[in-house]
Amino acid sequence: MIQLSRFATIVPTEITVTGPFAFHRYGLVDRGSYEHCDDIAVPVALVAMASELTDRSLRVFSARLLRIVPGDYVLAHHDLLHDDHRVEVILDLSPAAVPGAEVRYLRRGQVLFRVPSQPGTASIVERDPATVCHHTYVSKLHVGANVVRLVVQLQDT
Amino acid sequence: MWTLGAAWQDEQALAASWRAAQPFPHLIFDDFAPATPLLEVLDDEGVHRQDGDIFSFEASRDLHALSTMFGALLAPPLARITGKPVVRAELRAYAYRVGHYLLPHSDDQDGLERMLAFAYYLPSPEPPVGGELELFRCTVRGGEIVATDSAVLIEPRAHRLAVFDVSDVSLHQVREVLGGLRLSLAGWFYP
Repeated sequence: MIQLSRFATIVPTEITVTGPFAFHRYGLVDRGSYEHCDDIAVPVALVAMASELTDRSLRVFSARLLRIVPGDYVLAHHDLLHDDHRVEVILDLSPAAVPGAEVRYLRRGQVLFRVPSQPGTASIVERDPATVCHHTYVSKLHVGANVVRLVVQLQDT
Repeated sequence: MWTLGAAWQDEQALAASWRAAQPFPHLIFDDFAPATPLLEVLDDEGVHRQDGDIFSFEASRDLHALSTMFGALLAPPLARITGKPVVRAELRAYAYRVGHYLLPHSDDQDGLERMLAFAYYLPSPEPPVGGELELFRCTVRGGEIVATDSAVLIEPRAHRLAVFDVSDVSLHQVREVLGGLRLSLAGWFYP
């Protein structure tokens, strides 16, 4: 486990989810360009791992699968802000790492935490109302790139 | 540095083109070449890498002397053509290298008073592949944008000036540069 800060961690994991998944394209381009599947079962082991690492008793609030291909992105102002301190877990299910495809957490415009494309890992971040998140643009030069992320919001039980 | 050529003479026709342009008002002027090669003027200006969630490019600082000159020449005719009371311009130099982009946004921000946006494309030692200015059509319902569709692509040709309206639906982007180097001056006109 790599402990990067008090509130954010990236851990290797063998936890996965299996399809098939029905993706739908989101296309309000001033907010994001990506595919999503909102009908997804969150592995119990993922919630247990986040609960253990954060020392909190957590349950699933929301979950969605995102697929980001060359030319896609999710902007910070498309991020949902919450007034509580949810835990966000992102499980990287991509078939291969994609250069430059990151999830970034920012506070007041400053990058606090970067999650690189790294299949077989999960990031666990304790959010606060001032922290926003975005998924970086994936270059069209990476032909065939396929970033798949399970994004899970957890809240206290 | 620049002079207004024949393309600027018929302001009534330009005003009609401005109003009729889709998906939102814009004008394109080609062959708007300066008398003095701009790259020589800009040689002393450094550009620095800038990255955010919607952009990745290299940009200079605000170029005050060039902004003043540009605004003094173009603000009066653009005010007459567009009906927007612009009097001054601010611009920077931009270098988009391979992989650089500016994702969709409107330029419309409270308190900034941007009325018109522009991009002026400079000759490039390696003309860009990609890097088009793309304008989007917004469908608005109940004050909210509910759909966005690509409507116009403007190629970044040397000595081309693109001027477009700034509003909450003036959605545009610079497509990713896939090859070469895209050099431009870009900024806004203000009241």
